[in-house]
Amino acid sequence: MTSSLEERLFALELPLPKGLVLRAAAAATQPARRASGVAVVRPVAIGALSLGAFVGINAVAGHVWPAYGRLLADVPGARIVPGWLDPRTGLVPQTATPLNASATSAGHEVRLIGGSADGVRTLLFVEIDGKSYSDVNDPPRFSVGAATITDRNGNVYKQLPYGHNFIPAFEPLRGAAADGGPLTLHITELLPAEPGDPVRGDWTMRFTLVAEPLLDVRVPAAIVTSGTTYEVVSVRASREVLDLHWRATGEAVAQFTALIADPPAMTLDPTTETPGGAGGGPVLGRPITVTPEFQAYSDRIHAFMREHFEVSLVAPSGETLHPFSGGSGAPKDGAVEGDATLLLRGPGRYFVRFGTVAEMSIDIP
Amino acid sequence: MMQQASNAIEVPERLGVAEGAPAVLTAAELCDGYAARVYRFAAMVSRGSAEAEDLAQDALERAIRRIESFDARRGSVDAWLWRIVVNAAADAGRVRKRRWLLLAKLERTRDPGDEITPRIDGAIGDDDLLEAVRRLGQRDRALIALRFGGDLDYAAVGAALGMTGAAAGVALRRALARLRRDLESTGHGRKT
Repeated sequence: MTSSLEERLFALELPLPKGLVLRAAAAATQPARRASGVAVVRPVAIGALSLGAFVGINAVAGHVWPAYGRLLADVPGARIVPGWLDPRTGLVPQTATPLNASATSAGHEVRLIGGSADGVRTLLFVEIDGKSYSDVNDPPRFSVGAATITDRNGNVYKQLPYGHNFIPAFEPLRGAAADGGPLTLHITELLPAEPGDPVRGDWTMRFTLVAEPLLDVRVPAAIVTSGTTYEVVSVRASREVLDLHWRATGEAVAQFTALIADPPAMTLDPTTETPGGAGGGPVLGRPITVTPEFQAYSDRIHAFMREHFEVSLVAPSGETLHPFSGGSGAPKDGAVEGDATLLLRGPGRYFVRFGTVAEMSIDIP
Repeated sequence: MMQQASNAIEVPERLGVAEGAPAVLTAAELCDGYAARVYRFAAMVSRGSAEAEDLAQDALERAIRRIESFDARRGSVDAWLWRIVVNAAADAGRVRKRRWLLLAKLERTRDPGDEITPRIDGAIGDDDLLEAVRRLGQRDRALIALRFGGDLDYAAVGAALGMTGAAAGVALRRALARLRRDLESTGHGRKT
Protein backbone atom coordinates (compact mmCIF):
# COMPACT_ATOMS: atom_id res chain seq x y z
CA MET A 1 0.00 0.00 0.00
CA THR A 2 2.92 2.34 0.67
CA SER A 3 3.73 3.00 -2.95
CA SER A 4 0.11 3.77 -3.81
CA LEU A 5 -0.11 5.87 -0.69
CA GLU A 6 2.87 7.90 -1.83
CA GLU A 7 1.29 8.34 -5.23
CA ARG A 8 -1.90 9.53 -3.62
CA LEU A 9 -0.02 12.01 -1.46
CA PHE A 10 1.79 13.40 -4.48
CA ALA A 11 -1.53 13.62 -6.32
CA LEU A 12 -3.42 15.39 -3.54
CA GLU A 13 -5.09 18.41 -5.03
CA LEU A 14 -4.27 21.35 -2.80
CA PRO A 15 -4.62 24.41 -4.98
CA LEU A 16 -3.34 27.75 -3.91
CA PRO A 17 -6.16 29.78 -2.33
CA LYS A 18 -7.23 32.78 -4.28
CA GLY A 19 -5.50 35.95 -3.17
CA LEU A 20 -3.02 34.30 -0.82
CA VAL A 21 0.03 35.42 -2.77
CA LEU A 22 -1.27 38.94 -2.92
CA ARG A 23 -1.90 39.02 0.80
CA ALA A 24 1.60 37.74 1.49
CA ALA A 25 3.13 40.29 -0.82
CA ALA A 26 1.03 43.04 0.73
CA ALA A 27 2.12 42.03 4.22
CA ALA A 28 5.76 42.03 3.15
CA THR A 29 5.46 45.68 2.25
CA GLN A 30 4.57 46.57 5.81
CA PRO A 31 7.01 47.01 8.70
CA ALA A 32 7.78 43.69 10.37
CA ARG A 33 5.18 42.70 12.92
CA ARG A 34 6.10 41.79 16.42
CA ALA A 35 5.61 38.19 17.37
CA SER A 36 2.11 37.87 18.70
CA GLY A 37 0.88 35.00 20.79
CA VAL A 38 -2.73 35.95 20.86
CA ALA A 39 -3.95 37.87 17.93
CA VAL A 40 -2.25 37.21 14.64
CA VAL A 41 -3.84 39.82 12.47
CA ARG A 42 -3.67 39.08 8.80
CA PRO A 43 -3.98 41.85 6.27
CA VAL A 44 -7.13 41.77 4.24
CA ALA A 45 -6.94 40.88 0.60
CA ILE A 46 -6.25 43.75 -1.71
CA GLY A 47 -7.39 42.31 -4.97
CA ALA A 48 -6.90 45.27 -7.21
CA LEU A 49 -3.22 45.79 -6.51
CA SER A 50 -0.74 44.08 -8.77
CA LEU A 51 2.14 41.99 -7.50
CA GLY A 52 4.57 44.18 -9.38
CA ALA A 53 3.43 47.18 -7.41
CA PHE A 54 3.94 45.30 -4.19
CA VAL A 55 7.46 44.39 -5.11
CA GLY A 56 8.33 47.97 -5.88
CA ILE A 57 7.03 49.15 -2.53
CA ASN A 58 8.87 46.37 -0.77
CA ALA A 59 12.18 47.80 -1.84
CA VAL A 60 11.43 50.79 0.37
CA ALA A 61 9.76 49.02 3.26
CA GLY A 62 12.24 46.20 3.69
CA HIS A 63 14.88 48.05 5.65
CA VAL A 64 13.39 48.22 9.08
CA TRP A 65 16.46 47.56 11.17
CA PRO A 66 18.62 50.47 10.02
CA ALA A 67 15.73 52.69 10.98
CA TYR A 68 15.83 51.27 14.47
CA GLY A 69 19.55 51.77 14.53
CA ARG A 70 19.14 55.42 13.68
CA LEU A 71 16.42 55.73 16.28
CA LEU A 72 18.66 54.32 18.95
CA ALA A 73 21.53 56.54 18.00
CA ASP A 74 19.43 59.41 19.33
CA VAL A 75 18.53 57.68 22.58
CA PRO A 76 20.76 58.63 25.52
CA GLY A 77 22.48 55.60 26.98
CA ALA A 78 21.69 53.45 24.00
CA ARG A 79 25.19 53.35 22.61
CA ILE A 80 25.84 49.84 23.81
CA VAL A 81 24.74 48.24 20.60
CA PRO A 82 22.58 50.13 18.15
CA GLY A 83 19.78 47.93 17.00
CA TRP A 84 18.99 46.39 20.34
CA LEU A 85 15.52 47.75 20.36
CA ASP A 86 13.45 44.87 19.15
CA PRO A 87 9.68 45.07 18.92
CA ARG A 88 9.43 41.38 19.76
CA THR A 89 11.19 41.65 23.09
CA GLY A 90 10.27 45.19 23.96
CA LEU A 91 13.70 46.03 25.28
CA VAL A 92 14.10 49.51 26.62
CA PRO A 93 17.79 50.04 25.89
CA GLN A 94 18.51 52.14 28.96
CA THR A 95 18.00 49.09 31.14
CA ALA A 96 20.54 46.92 29.32
CA THR A 97 23.84 46.13 30.98
CA PRO A 98 26.94 45.69 28.83
CA LEU A 99 28.57 42.30 29.26
CA ASN A 100 31.72 40.88 27.79
CA ALA A 101 32.18 37.15 27.76
CA SER A 102 32.87 34.79 24.93
CA ALA A 103 33.32 31.13 24.18
CA THR A 104 34.46 29.23 21.14
CA SER A 105 33.36 25.74 20.26
CA ALA A 106 32.93 23.81 17.03
CA GLY A 107 34.74 26.60 15.24
CA HIS A 108 32.27 29.32 16.18
CA GLU A 109 32.65 32.16 18.63
CA VAL A 110 29.66 33.29 20.66
CA ARG A 111 30.06 36.58 22.48
CA LEU A 112 27.73 37.72 25.21
CA ILE A 113 27.51 41.47 24.80
CA GLY A 114 24.71 42.53 27.10
CA GLY A 115 21.80 41.62 29.26
CA SER A 116 18.68 42.91 30.89
CA ALA A 117 16.93 41.30 33.85
CA ASP A 118 13.84 42.03 35.89
CA GLY A 119 11.25 40.14 37.81
CA VAL A 120 9.46 39.05 34.66
CA ARG A 121 12.23 37.85 32.38
CA THR A 122 15.93 37.80 31.59
CA LEU A 123 17.15 38.90 28.18
CA LEU A 124 20.63 38.27 26.83
CA PHE A 125 22.25 39.71 23.74
CA VAL A 126 24.78 37.79 21.74
CA GLU A 127 26.92 38.11 18.68
CA ILE A 128 28.02 35.06 16.76
CA ASP A 129 31.30 35.00 14.86
CA GLY A 130 31.53 38.75 15.40
CA LYS A 131 28.28 39.50 13.66
CA SER A 132 25.25 41.22 15.12
CA TYR A 133 21.74 40.54 13.96
CA SER A 134 21.16 44.24 13.64
CA ASP A 135 23.49 44.46 10.66
CA VAL A 136 21.16 43.69 7.78
CA ASN A 137 23.94 44.00 5.25
CA ASP A 138 26.05 41.30 6.83
CA PRO A 139 23.83 39.22 9.08
CA PRO A 140 25.14 36.35 11.19
CA ARG A 141 25.25 32.91 9.65
CA PHE A 142 24.01 31.32 12.88
CA SER A 143 21.66 32.06 15.73
CA VAL A 144 21.17 30.67 19.24
CA GLY A 145 19.28 27.39 19.41
CA ALA A 146 19.20 25.51 22.69
CA ALA A 147 20.42 27.43 25.74
CA THR A 148 19.89 27.67 29.48
CA ILE A 149 21.10 29.87 32.33
CA THR A 150 22.10 28.33 35.64
CA ASP A 151 23.04 29.92 38.93
CA ARG A 152 25.40 28.65 41.58
CA ASN A 153 22.53 27.19 43.59
CA GLY A 154 21.67 24.86 40.76
CA ASN A 155 18.60 26.75 39.59
CA VAL A 156 18.01 26.42 35.86
CA TYR A 157 16.37 29.25 33.96
CA LYS A 158 14.74 28.00 30.79
CA GLN A 159 14.12 29.91 27.60
CA LEU A 160 10.79 31.66 27.26
CA PRO A 161 8.81 31.20 24.04
CA TYR A 162 9.08 34.75 22.80
CA GLY A 163 12.79 35.44 22.64
CA HIS A 164 14.60 36.41 19.48
CA ASN A 165 17.36 34.08 18.34
CA PHE A 166 19.97 36.74 19.09
CA ILE A 167 18.14 37.99 22.14
CA PRO A 168 17.13 34.80 23.89
CA ALA A 169 14.68 35.35 26.74
CA PHE A 170 14.83 33.31 29.92
CA GLU A 171 12.81 32.93 33.08
CA PRO A 172 13.34 35.66 35.69
CA LEU A 173 16.29 35.28 38.03
CA ARG A 174 15.58 34.24 41.59
CA GLY A 175 17.20 34.72 44.96
CA ALA A 176 20.87 35.59 45.05
CA ALA A 177 21.10 35.29 41.27
CA ALA A 178 18.84 38.31 40.93
CA ASP A 179 21.18 40.35 43.16
CA GLY A 180 24.24 39.91 41.02
CA GLY A 181 25.14 36.34 41.90
CA PRO A 182 27.24 34.43 39.39
CA LEU A 183 25.39 33.04 36.41
CA THR A 184 26.35 30.71 33.60
CA LEU A 185 24.97 30.84 30.10
CA HIS A 186 25.21 27.44 28.50
CA ILE A 187 24.51 27.27 24.77
CA THR A 188 24.54 23.81 23.25
CA GLU A 189 23.25 24.45 19.75
CA LEU A 190 23.57 27.06 17.04
CA LEU A 191 21.07 27.15 14.22
CA PRO A 192 22.24 27.94 10.70
CA ALA A 193 20.58 30.78 8.85
CA GLU A 194 20.95 28.81 5.65
CA PRO A 195 20.07 25.18 5.05
CA GLY A 196 22.29 22.86 6.99
CA ASP A 197 22.56 20.94 10.19
CA PRO A 198 22.53 22.66 13.58
CA VAL A 199 25.97 23.03 15.07
CA ARG A 200 26.27 21.39 18.45
CA GLY A 201 28.93 22.44 20.89
CA ASP A 202 29.55 23.85 24.30
CA TRP A 203 29.56 27.59 24.61
CA THR A 204 29.72 28.38 28.31
CA MET A 205 30.01 31.95 29.55
CA ARG A 206 29.90 33.36 33.03
CA PHE A 207 28.34 36.69 33.87
CA THR A 208 26.35 38.57 36.45
CA LEU A 209 23.23 40.67 36.21
CA VAL A 210 21.29 42.60 38.77
CA ALA A 211 17.61 42.16 38.14
CA GLU A 212 15.34 45.10 38.57
CA PRO A 213 12.77 44.25 41.21
CA LEU A 214 9.16 43.74 40.36
CA LEU A 215 7.01 46.80 40.66
CA ASP A 216 4.47 46.85 43.43
CA VAL A 217 1.31 46.42 41.42
CA ARG A 218 -1.97 45.69 43.07
CA VAL A 219 -4.15 43.01 41.54
CA PRO A 220 -7.27 44.77 40.31
CA ALA A 221 -10.62 43.81 41.74
CA ALA A 222 -12.70 41.33 39.80
CA ILE A 223 -15.54 42.75 37.80
CA VAL A 224 -18.86 41.24 36.86
CA THR A 225 -20.60 42.13 33.66
CA SER A 226 -23.61 40.46 32.06
CA GLY A 227 -23.28 37.52 34.38
CA THR A 228 -19.59 36.95 33.67
CA THR A 229 -16.85 37.45 36.27
CA TYR A 230 -13.47 38.55 34.96
CA GLU A 231 -10.61 38.23 37.39
CA VAL A 232 -6.90 38.94 37.16
CA VAL A 233 -5.53 36.09 39.23
CA SER A 234 -1.92 37.23 39.37
CA VAL A 235 0.11 40.07 37.98
CA ARG A 236 3.81 40.78 37.63
CA ALA A 237 5.20 43.99 36.26
CA SER A 238 8.57 45.49 35.59
CA ARG A 239 9.30 48.85 34.06
CA GLU A 240 8.95 47.26 30.64
CA VAL A 241 6.56 44.37 30.81
CA LEU A 242 3.25 43.44 32.39
CA ASP A 243 2.58 39.75 32.78
CA LEU A 244 -0.83 38.67 33.99
CA HIS A 245 -2.84 35.52 34.45
CA TRP A 246 -6.60 35.88 34.18
CA ARG A 247 -9.73 33.85 34.62
CA ALA A 248 -13.32 34.20 33.51
CA THR A 249 -16.35 32.37 34.87
CA GLY A 250 -20.08 32.64 34.40
CA GLU A 251 -22.35 33.38 31.51
CA ALA A 252 -19.76 33.98 28.76
CA VAL A 253 -17.99 30.75 29.65
CA ALA A 254 -21.27 28.86 29.57
CA GLN A 255 -22.05 30.33 26.17
CA PHE A 256 -18.56 29.50 24.92
CA THR A 257 -18.85 25.95 26.20
CA ALA A 258 -22.14 25.53 24.39
CA LEU A 259 -20.72 27.11 21.26
CA ILE A 260 -17.88 24.64 20.90
CA ALA A 261 -19.80 21.60 22.13
CA ASP A 262 -21.22 20.50 18.81
CA PRO A 263 -18.76 21.16 16.00
CA PRO A 264 -19.64 20.14 12.48
CA ALA A 265 -17.19 17.84 10.73
CA MET A 266 -14.04 19.62 9.67
CA THR A 267 -14.35 18.16 6.19
CA LEU A 268 -13.32 19.70 2.94
CA ASP A 269 -15.83 20.69 0.35
CA PRO A 270 -14.90 18.99 -2.94
CA THR A 271 -17.61 20.71 -4.90
CA THR A 272 -16.74 24.35 -4.45
CA GLU A 273 -15.48 26.03 -7.56
CA THR A 274 -13.54 29.25 -7.35
CA PRO A 275 -12.93 31.12 -10.57
CA GLY A 276 -9.43 32.33 -11.28
CA GLY A 277 -8.75 35.66 -12.81
CA ALA A 278 -6.76 38.84 -12.73
CA GLY A 279 -5.75 39.93 -9.28
CA GLY A 280 -6.81 36.67 -7.73
CA GLY A 281 -3.57 34.81 -8.09
CA PRO A 282 -3.19 31.41 -9.69
CA VAL A 283 -5.94 28.88 -9.06
CA LEU A 284 -4.92 25.36 -9.90
CA GLY A 285 -7.48 22.60 -10.02
CA ARG A 286 -10.29 22.55 -7.56
CA PRO A 287 -9.96 24.73 -4.48
CA ILE A 288 -9.65 23.38 -0.98
CA THR A 289 -12.17 24.80 1.40
CA VAL A 290 -13.85 23.59 4.52
CA THR A 291 -17.58 23.17 4.43
CA PRO A 292 -19.56 26.38 4.89
CA GLU A 293 -20.90 24.91 8.12
CA PHE A 294 -17.47 24.45 9.61
CA GLN A 295 -16.24 27.81 8.37
CA ALA A 296 -19.21 29.50 9.99
CA TYR A 297 -18.63 27.54 13.16
CA SER A 298 -14.96 28.53 13.22
CA ASP A 299 -15.83 32.16 12.57
CA ARG A 300 -18.35 32.14 15.41
CA ILE A 301 -15.76 30.79 17.84
CA HIS A 302 -13.16 33.35 16.91
CA ALA A 303 -15.65 36.19 17.00
CA PHE A 304 -16.83 35.10 20.43
CA MET A 305 -13.27 34.86 21.73
CA ARG A 306 -12.46 38.28 20.36
CA GLU A 307 -15.54 39.73 22.00
CA HIS A 308 -15.13 38.11 25.41
CA PHE A 309 -11.63 36.75 26.02
CA GLU A 310 -9.11 38.66 23.96
CA VAL A 311 -6.95 40.69 26.31
CA SER A 312 -5.57 44.11 25.46
CA LEU A 313 -4.16 46.96 27.46
CA VAL A 314 -4.95 50.63 27.10
CA ALA A 315 -1.97 52.82 28.01
CA PRO A 316 -2.34 56.14 29.82
CA SER A 317 -1.89 57.85 26.46
CA GLY A 318 -4.87 55.98 25.08
CA GLU A 319 -2.74 53.67 22.95
CA THR A 320 -4.10 50.13 22.75
CA LEU A 321 -1.44 47.51 23.39
CA HIS A 322 -1.74 43.86 22.44
CA PRO A 323 0.04 40.92 24.06
CA PHE A 324 3.20 39.70 22.42
CA SER A 325 2.87 36.38 24.19
CA GLY A 326 0.06 34.47 25.83
CA GLY A 327 -3.30 33.02 24.95
CA SER A 328 -6.28 31.30 26.45
CA GLY A 329 -7.46 27.73 26.59
CA ALA A 330 -10.71 25.89 26.23
CA PRO A 331 -13.23 26.01 29.08
CA LYS A 332 -12.26 23.76 31.97
CA ASP A 333 -14.13 23.31 35.20
CA GLY A 334 -16.44 26.14 34.30
CA ALA A 335 -13.70 28.68 33.64
CA VAL A 336 -11.63 30.04 30.81
CA GLU A 337 -8.10 30.94 31.86
CA GLY A 338 -5.34 32.68 30.00
CA ASP A 339 -2.05 34.52 30.15
CA ALA A 340 -0.96 37.76 28.56
CA THR A 341 2.43 39.46 28.42
CA LEU A 342 2.36 43.03 27.24
CA LEU A 343 4.81 45.87 26.86
CA LEU A 344 4.32 48.91 29.05
CA ARG A 345 4.66 52.55 28.12
CA GLY A 346 5.85 53.85 31.48
CA PRO A 347 4.03 54.52 34.74
CA GLY A 348 0.42 55.50 34.98
CA ARG A 349 -3.08 54.12 34.98
CA TYR A 350 -3.68 51.40 32.43
CA PHE A 351 -6.87 49.55 31.59
CA VAL A 352 -6.98 45.81 31.05
CA ARG A 353 -9.68 44.99 28.54
CA PHE A 354 -11.36 41.67 27.97
CA GLY A 355 -12.64 41.74 24.44
CA THR A 356 -15.18 44.49 24.12
CA VAL A 357 -17.17 43.68 27.20
CA ALA A 358 -15.08 44.28 30.31
CA GLU A 359 -12.41 46.67 31.50
CA MET A 360 -10.55 47.14 34.75
CA SER A 361 -7.90 49.66 35.76
CA ILE A 362 -4.42 48.78 36.93
CA ASP A 363 -1.91 51.30 38.23
CA ILE A 364 1.74 50.97 37.26
CA PRO A 365 4.00 52.98 39.59
CA MET B 1 3.16 39.87 -17.38
CA MET B 2 4.71 40.45 -14.01
CA GLN B 3 6.61 43.64 -13.53
CA GLN B 4 10.29 43.07 -12.83
CA ALA B 5 11.07 43.62 -9.18
CA SER B 6 13.10 46.68 -8.39
CA ASN B 7 14.84 44.86 -5.57
CA ALA B 8 16.09 41.99 -7.68
CA ILE B 9 19.59 40.91 -6.84
CA GLU B 10 22.06 40.74 -9.62
CA VAL B 11 24.40 37.83 -9.06
CA PRO B 12 27.55 37.99 -11.12
CA GLU B 13 28.15 34.90 -13.15
CA ARG B 14 30.96 32.92 -11.65
CA LEU B 15 31.93 29.42 -10.85
CA GLY B 16 30.17 27.94 -7.88
CA VAL B 17 26.64 29.02 -8.62
CA ALA B 18 24.39 26.12 -7.74
CA GLU B 19 23.06 24.25 -10.73
CA GLY B 20 19.57 25.36 -11.57
CA ALA B 21 19.70 28.36 -9.30
CA PRO B 22 18.58 31.55 -11.01
CA ALA B 23 21.13 34.33 -11.10
CA VAL B 24 18.40 36.81 -10.27
CA LEU B 25 15.52 36.05 -7.93
CA THR B 26 12.61 38.42 -7.76
CA ALA B 27 9.63 38.31 -5.48
CA ALA B 28 7.42 37.79 -8.49
CA GLU B 29 9.45 34.80 -9.62
CA LEU B 30 9.50 33.45 -6.10
CA CYS B 31 5.73 33.58 -5.84
CA ASP B 32 5.12 32.32 -9.37
CA GLY B 33 7.46 29.40 -8.98
CA TYR B 34 6.98 28.33 -5.40
CA ALA B 35 3.76 29.64 -3.86
CA ALA B 36 1.71 26.62 -4.92
CA ARG B 37 4.23 24.21 -3.37
CA VAL B 38 4.47 26.27 -0.21
CA TYR B 39 0.71 26.09 0.13
CA ARG B 40 0.68 22.33 -0.47
CA PHE B 41 3.24 22.00 2.32
CA ALA B 42 1.19 24.25 4.59
CA ALA B 43 -2.03 22.39 3.87
CA MET B 44 -0.45 19.12 4.92
CA VAL B 45 1.51 20.32 7.92
CA SER B 46 -1.33 22.36 9.42
CA ARG B 47 -4.24 21.01 11.37
CA GLY B 48 -6.83 22.94 9.41
CA SER B 49 -7.35 24.97 6.28
CA ALA B 50 -7.49 28.34 7.99
CA GLU B 51 -4.20 27.62 9.72
CA ALA B 52 -2.74 26.40 6.43
CA GLU B 53 -3.55 29.69 4.75
CA ASP B 54 -2.08 31.62 7.65
CA LEU B 55 1.10 29.58 7.55
CA ALA B 56 1.51 29.76 3.78
CA GLN B 57 0.98 33.49 3.83
CA ASP B 58 3.44 33.96 6.68
CA ALA B 59 6.06 31.79 4.98
CA LEU B 60 5.75 33.63 1.68
CA GLU B 61 5.83 36.97 3.46
CA ARG B 62 9.04 36.00 5.24
CA ALA B 63 10.61 34.79 2.02
CA ILE B 64 9.75 38.01 0.21
CA ARG B 65 11.15 40.06 3.07
CA ARG B 66 14.36 38.08 3.00
CA ILE B 67 14.73 37.81 -0.73
CA GLU B 68 17.92 39.80 -0.54
CA SER B 69 19.47 37.09 1.61
CA PHE B 70 19.20 34.58 -1.23
CA ASP B 71 22.63 33.97 -2.66
CA ALA B 72 22.74 31.70 -5.69
CA ARG B 73 26.42 31.01 -5.07
CA ARG B 74 25.57 29.30 -1.80
CA GLY B 75 22.71 27.08 -2.82
CA SER B 76 19.50 26.65 -4.68
CA VAL B 77 16.30 28.60 -4.21
CA ASP B 78 14.78 25.41 -2.82
CA ALA B 79 17.37 25.10 -0.10
CA TRP B 80 17.04 28.74 0.87
CA LEU B 81 13.26 28.84 0.72
CA TRP B 82 12.38 25.67 2.59
CA ARG B 83 14.47 26.60 5.59
CA ILE B 84 12.39 29.76 5.83
CA VAL B 85 9.15 27.85 5.37
CA VAL B 86 10.02 25.26 8.01
CA ASN B 87 10.99 27.99 10.46
CA ALA B 88 7.66 29.70 9.82
CA ALA B 89 5.89 26.43 10.57
CA ALA B 90 7.88 25.92 13.75
CA ASP B 91 7.11 29.46 14.90
CA ALA B 92 3.45 28.98 14.11
CA GLY B 93 3.50 25.86 16.24
CA ARG B 94 4.93 27.71 19.21
CA VAL B 95 2.77 30.77 18.92
CA ARG B 96 -0.46 28.88 18.51
CA LYS B 97 0.20 26.09 20.93
CA ARG B 98 -2.81 26.99 22.99
CA ARG B 99 -4.99 27.25 19.94
CA TRP B 100 -3.83 23.81 18.88
CA LEU B 101 -4.92 22.54 22.25
CA LEU B 102 -8.33 24.00 21.66
CA LEU B 103 -8.55 22.49 18.20
CA ALA B 104 -7.41 19.15 19.52
CA LYS B 105 -10.17 19.30 22.08
CA LEU B 106 -12.65 20.12 19.38
CA GLU B 107 -11.50 17.21 17.27
CA ARG B 108 -11.81 14.86 20.22
CA THR B 109 -15.37 15.98 20.79
CA ARG B 110 -16.37 15.51 17.19
CA ASP B 111 -19.15 13.04 16.61
CA PRO B 112 -17.75 9.90 14.94
CA GLY B 113 -20.86 9.87 12.82
CA ASP B 114 -19.53 12.92 11.02
CA GLU B 115 -16.68 10.96 9.50
CA ILE B 116 -16.66 10.71 5.78
CA THR B 117 -17.92 7.44 4.36
CA PRO B 118 -15.05 5.36 3.00
CA ARG B 119 -14.81 5.22 -0.75
CA ILE B 120 -15.72 2.07 -2.62
CA ASP B 121 -13.08 -0.68 -2.43
CA GLY B 122 -11.21 1.11 0.30
CA ALA B 123 -9.99 3.84 -2.02
CA ILE B 124 -8.98 6.94 -0.16
CA GLY B 125 -10.62 10.24 -0.92
CA ASP B 126 -8.45 13.33 -1.00
CA ASP B 127 -10.23 14.81 1.97
CA ASP B 128 -9.90 11.61 3.99
CA LEU B 129 -6.24 11.39 3.18
CA LEU B 130 -5.58 14.99 4.09
CA GLU B 131 -7.40 14.60 7.38
CA ALA B 132 -5.36 11.51 8.15
CA VAL B 133 -2.13 13.42 7.48
CA ARG B 134 -3.34 16.16 9.77
CA ARG B 135 -3.95 13.68 12.56
CA LEU B 136 -0.28 12.71 12.59
CA GLY B 137 2.21 14.19 15.00
CA GLN B 138 3.92 17.45 14.13
CA ARG B 139 7.18 15.87 13.03
CA ASP B 140 5.50 13.29 10.81
CA ARG B 141 3.37 16.00 9.25
CA ALA B 142 6.45 18.10 8.53
CA LEU B 143 8.23 15.18 6.86
CA ILE B 144 5.25 14.25 4.72
CA ALA B 145 4.44 17.85 3.87
CA LEU B 146 7.98 18.58 2.71
CA ARG B 147 8.24 15.39 0.65
CA PHE B 148 4.78 15.28 -0.89
CA GLY B 149 3.63 18.87 -0.55
CA GLY B 150 6.93 20.60 -1.24
CA ASP B 151 8.03 17.87 -3.65
CA LEU B 152 11.49 17.72 -2.10
CA ASP B 153 13.84 14.77 -2.26
CA TYR B 154 15.20 13.15 0.89
CA ALA B 155 18.32 15.31 0.95
CA ALA B 156 16.29 18.50 0.71
CA VAL B 157 13.82 17.30 3.33
CA GLY B 158 16.72 16.55 5.61
CA ALA B 159 18.34 19.91 4.98
CA ALA B 160 15.11 21.72 5.77
CA LEU B 161 14.69 19.83 9.03
CA GLY B 162 18.32 19.81 10.10
CA MET B 163 19.06 16.12 9.51
CA THR B 164 20.85 14.05 6.95
CA GLY B 165 19.08 12.86 3.85
CA ALA B 166 19.39 9.26 4.97
CA ALA B 167 17.87 10.04 8.34
CA ALA B 168 15.07 11.93 6.62
CA GLY B 169 14.38 8.89 4.46
CA VAL B 170 14.11 6.61 7.46
CA ALA B 171 11.95 9.08 9.36
CA LEU B 172 9.71 9.53 6.36
CA ARG B 173 9.18 5.80 5.95
CA ARG B 174 8.17 5.59 9.59
CA ALA B 175 5.78 8.52 9.16
CA LEU B 176 4.20 6.82 6.17
CA ALA B 177 3.84 3.64 8.17
CA ARG B 178 2.01 5.53 10.88
CA LEU B 179 -0.21 7.19 8.28
CA ARG B 180 -0.99 3.80 6.76
CA ARG B 181 -1.89 2.38 10.17
CA ASP B 182 -4.16 5.32 10.83
CA LEU B 183 -5.92 4.84 7.51
CA GLU B 184 -6.30 1.15 8.13
CA SER B 185 -7.72 1.75 11.58
CA THR B 186 -10.38 4.05 10.15
CA GLY B 187 -11.30 1.66 7.37
CA HIS B 188 -9.66 3.59 4.56
CA GLY B 189 -6.88 1.21 3.70
CA ARG B 190 -6.22 -2.40 3.02
CA LYS B 191 -3.63 -4.38 4.87
CA THR B 192 -1.02 -5.97 2.69
